[in-house]
Amino acid sequence: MTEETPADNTKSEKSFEELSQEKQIGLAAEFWMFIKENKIWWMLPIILVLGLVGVLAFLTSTGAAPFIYTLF
Amino acid sequence: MTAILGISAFYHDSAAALVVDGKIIAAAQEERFTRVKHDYRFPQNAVDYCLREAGLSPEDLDYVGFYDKPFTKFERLIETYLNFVPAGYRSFRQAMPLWLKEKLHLPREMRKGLHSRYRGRFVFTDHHESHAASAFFPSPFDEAAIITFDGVGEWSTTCYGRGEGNRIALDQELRFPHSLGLLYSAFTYYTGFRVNSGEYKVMGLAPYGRPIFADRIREQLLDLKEDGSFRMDMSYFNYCQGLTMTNDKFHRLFEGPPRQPESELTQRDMDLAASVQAVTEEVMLKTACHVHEVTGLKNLVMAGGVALNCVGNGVILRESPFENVWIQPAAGDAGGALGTALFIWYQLLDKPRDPSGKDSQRGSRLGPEFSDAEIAAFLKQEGAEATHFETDDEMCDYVSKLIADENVVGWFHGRMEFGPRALGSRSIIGDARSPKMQQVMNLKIKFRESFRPFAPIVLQEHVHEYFEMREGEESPYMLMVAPVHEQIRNQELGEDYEQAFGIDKLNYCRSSIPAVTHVDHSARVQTVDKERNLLLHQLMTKFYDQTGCPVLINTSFNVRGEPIVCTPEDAYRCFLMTGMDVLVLGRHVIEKKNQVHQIDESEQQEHLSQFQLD
Repeated sequence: MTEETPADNTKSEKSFEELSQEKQIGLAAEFWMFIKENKIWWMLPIILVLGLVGVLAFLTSTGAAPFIYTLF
Repeated sequence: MTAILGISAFYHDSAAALVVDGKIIAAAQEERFTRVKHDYRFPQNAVDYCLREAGLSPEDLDYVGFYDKPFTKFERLIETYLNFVPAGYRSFRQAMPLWLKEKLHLPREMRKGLHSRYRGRFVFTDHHESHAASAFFPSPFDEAAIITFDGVGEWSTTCYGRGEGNRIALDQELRFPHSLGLLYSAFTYYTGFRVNSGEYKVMGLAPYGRPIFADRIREQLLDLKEDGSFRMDMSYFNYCQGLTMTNDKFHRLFEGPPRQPESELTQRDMDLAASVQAVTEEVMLKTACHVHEVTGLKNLVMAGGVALNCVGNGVILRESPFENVWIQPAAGDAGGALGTALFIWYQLLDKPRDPSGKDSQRGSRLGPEFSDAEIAAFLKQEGAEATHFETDDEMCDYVSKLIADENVVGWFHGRMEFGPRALGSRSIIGDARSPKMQQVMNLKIKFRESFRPFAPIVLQEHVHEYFEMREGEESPYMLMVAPVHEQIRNQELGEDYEQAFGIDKLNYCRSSIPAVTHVDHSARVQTVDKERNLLLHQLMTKFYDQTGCPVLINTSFNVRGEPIVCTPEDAYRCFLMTGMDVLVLGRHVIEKKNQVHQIDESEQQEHLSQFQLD
């Protein structure tokens, strides 16, 4: 075997029981935490572009489509 | 009371498992309910069943865990695509909508599945951590080395570490794309079977071939080290960036294109299967030896899809220095649901664990069961002619005689098994002594390829007489292959047999239990004991008293491509649509010859055509 696995992820300042009682974090906030924690900054522009494409894809299938096309 | 639900879903083999105060209450795969093999969708039926079994509702759940970390997996996907730009565009285009719409929104999807009645947060455990937890926590050991062999989780493909008391820790890993599971899947694809589904066919095909390509695999595809770690030459594979497992360079190396699914199997396909199997066993054994050296422990537990390779498991048991090996019966992704629930209970909540020398998997009979009254009502509604026996003893006596007369029996009783193997609750059983039984069962009952081997069930007290295993040795989950004992082998096979090629070997009677003796004299043994499966033990004891043989054939209760039956209705339909002679539903015995409703060939074809081949 060649690589060390990450450190034990069960250690936390707050206890597991306390954390489990908190409110579920939203997708964007959780992704930001994930990027920050793992220092994978290179993912940020990719996520932003994918998110933008996702929003555009959603909007083009709605009544907002004529306004979106004028952007290009 | 603390109730924990574990979920695996959205890739393949979705499942749910419920652990209450550390005890495994229920676990089931979604495919059994939806009748879609390897169903990947949210396990709605399995979740509902688990809660029903415990008499709980979603708001009673204290924790809900998912068996891997979707963000880390997403990161791996993006990084892999970036590495192969622009080659991976088609695959990227197909994968991204799914991720953006569903897989990145798992809390939302799971909350929906729990009818918005679960208020807590969701726990996401690492994929291999889930496998490791499913292997160690239910095992009979207080301390053990852990190996997870898999295709891929987030980044890891193989991990090892150790478990002690109520803690597990994975210390080392092999990372994607270098993967034993994906290497095996590449050959599964190349030999014309479905990836993530047909791997066990490659394993079954291997004994018909010669490992003549093994050196080529070792020299060209892998850089294998003594500790079992390896690097793969990715210029031969296409799974990182494409929609196939292998590429033209791979096909040139093995002198031909991939076999077309359902086309005739050639000796070359068998040789390829034998070769990848040989290399897989070598990697598994080297890894196990290294892990033993590093940990110095005498017990080993394993999980992950590759741990379903029972031939490789048998090699580890016989040839590695480990004294005891325990493998999670649901070693594939379905078992991750159980792993994540147990991980939350033991590791995250820090609850004590007392293994007491017995595994806590409860025979893996963790699914739904049906009472005799429910079965009787169903049979009445169907107008089926059935004989009801007042006692188990009378029923077993009657059925054992039918088996001895070479009838093929569908055996349905108690709770459904969790994991891919039928262990005697949803099984088709027959007389292992019959030379024609392998072909009859393959072609008329299962409608599958005639090369496919069958597994024996044996009374545990007789295991050493029929197989090269220690007296009283356990293999209750059918995850070990052992050679058939020398004394029951046919000593007159001679040179003709040695020189016979491939499937021709099936024409020779290889032992006194030919139906379950593979062409290399191996058998995938399941031992039956009173504690885990009393009724099956009773039936086999009756059969032994009548015939002197403590061995039967046991195969899963389904036809080719169909998930194993779950309900009496599934079982009755399968019974009618196949050449099965007898169906035992609890204490009800239904014989085909007594039925008014007989199925014609077109009905049978229609039934079979609904199942996708693997």
